[in-house]
Amino acid sequence: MAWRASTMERASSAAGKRIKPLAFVRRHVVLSVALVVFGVIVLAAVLAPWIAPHDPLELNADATFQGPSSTHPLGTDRYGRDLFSRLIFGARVSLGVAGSAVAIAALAGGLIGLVAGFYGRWVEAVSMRLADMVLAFPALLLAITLAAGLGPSARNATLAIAVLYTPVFARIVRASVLVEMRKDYIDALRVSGASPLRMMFRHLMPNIGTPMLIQATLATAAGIELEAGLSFLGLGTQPPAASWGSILGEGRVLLTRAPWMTIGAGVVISVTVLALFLVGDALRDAADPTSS
Amino acid sequence: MLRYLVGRVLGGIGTLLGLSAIVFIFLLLIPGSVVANILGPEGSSSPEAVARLEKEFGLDRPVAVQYLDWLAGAARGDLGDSWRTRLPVSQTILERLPLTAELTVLASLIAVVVGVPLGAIGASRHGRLADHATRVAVLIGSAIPVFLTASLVLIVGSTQFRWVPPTGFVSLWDDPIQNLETVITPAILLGVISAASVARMTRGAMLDVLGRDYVRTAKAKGLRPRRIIGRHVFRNASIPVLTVLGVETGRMLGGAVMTETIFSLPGLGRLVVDSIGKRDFPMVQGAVLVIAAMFIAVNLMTDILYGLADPRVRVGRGRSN
Repeated sequence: MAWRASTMERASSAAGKRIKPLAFVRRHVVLSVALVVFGVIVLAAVLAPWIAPHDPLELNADATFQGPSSTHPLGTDRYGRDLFSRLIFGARVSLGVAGSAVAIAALAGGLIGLVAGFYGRWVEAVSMRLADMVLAFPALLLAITLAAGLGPSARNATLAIAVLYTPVFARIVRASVLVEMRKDYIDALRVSGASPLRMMFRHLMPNIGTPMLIQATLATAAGIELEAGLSFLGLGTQPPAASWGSILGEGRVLLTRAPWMTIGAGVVISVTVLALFLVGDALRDAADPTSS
Repeated sequence: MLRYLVGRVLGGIGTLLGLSAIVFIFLLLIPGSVVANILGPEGSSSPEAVARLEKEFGLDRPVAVQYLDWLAGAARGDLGDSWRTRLPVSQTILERLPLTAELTVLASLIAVVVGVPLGAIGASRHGRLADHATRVAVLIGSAIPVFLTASLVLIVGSTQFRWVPPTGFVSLWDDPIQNLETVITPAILLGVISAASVARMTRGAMLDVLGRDYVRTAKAKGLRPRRIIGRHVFRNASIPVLTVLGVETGRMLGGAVMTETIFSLPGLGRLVVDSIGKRDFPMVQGAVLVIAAMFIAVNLMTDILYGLADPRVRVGRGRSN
């Protein structure tokens, strides 16, 4: 994966220019829609207590298994809990788990990749072989093994997803660092006697931001799917709290009685993942026009 | 070519060894005493019973000895005995393996049969309606998780058509029809999702190759389009497609856990999940390694196919890290 200097500079100089919002929207229709959709979902998660029409945990024995109606826009589950509210609060869990897992992975993997690419030798050999081993394992199966082993909870699901994505970030950052290391400014820094720490964090870090951002976007999308998968199997978020995946999981046994649970949660997951994919794709195209 | 092959195989074995150590250490770190879990609250109150079981499982020995002993057995094909059923782990795995293997192979076939033509259509009608249509289909396909499509198929099947998927698994050799009936639905669901990635990669790779100078030269020479596509474009575009197929196999093996659970099929993936729950560590260790070995073997095969498709890879210059 070569992040060529010219394209990166082009991307960053384009970002530096003042862009008129309307022109941007007209030029990148799909990206704009994806950003708005994702923004709305994040906003819903943040503002959950204020916008959810009901308490997501409130039981209502008189209103179990109700189809969509004006009081319950997406229907209710077997305890009469409002599905719409549960989905809004579930967004906090789903986005929170995926987001923090990716943050941990980006931080840990980024550091490993930075050090591996900078120092090379045994540090690189050991860390990259370890990364290969983790990557040599089917992702979902590894997540399931980790989450089940550590005990089912949202925290352990986060850890499992973070472990999965750390080597991905480590590899990408290392590859980008290797490209950067061949450039003149690194030689100039070396000659001028800059300390390794200064070179890594002050100079290399900003230059590998683009590939990391792209990877983080795509990893968050995958993280949402993984969290949903784990919770679907009962290995993630534990009841009564809800994540999108656990709602799907609860819906699975009630498929014929309350299909709206599966459909509601499924649509939200797919739309969010799709929006993130589109944003990631657009970022990649902007950074490297030849990749599409 | 031979050197390349040997290097790849040794690398795969090394990865597998490292993985086995990692899984072993991880299982040690799992909280809660296994023996107490198996004996239950009553049984574990007796120290003699606990000691006896620990001795039987070999847990009284140093960790390194336990691991090396297991490794020596694994090298001979003996993966130890289950702590629950006391049956040999390898026997249970061999019972479960055919289903997962069949599921993955069928799904890969579907991914190729659907994905490659879709991507090729997109590339040859670049920028036109067919291209946009396939792009949208591909995006939607890659954003929908398999457990959702599986659930939806079950909803629609059972409510609209009174169709319930068969759950019992019979060997392909005993009853091919019933076997296919059981496996085909989950295989299609898994395959279609991977077909999206395959189509995406085929389209990108073909567009890339179509823009190259040698294709222009071939056109200028007056080669027939069919020959250009067959001889120049497909061959060169096949490498990234093979890569993505290797990666997708990993996703299918993982996705098999989901589909096996949703469709209640007794495969390897479900064996892992169930065995972790029961703290049956030899079973987890064995099953996990067999799945990883399958994944590594598939990637090895794609590596070998690379070598065939692109001579540069054989000498080791074509692979950028």
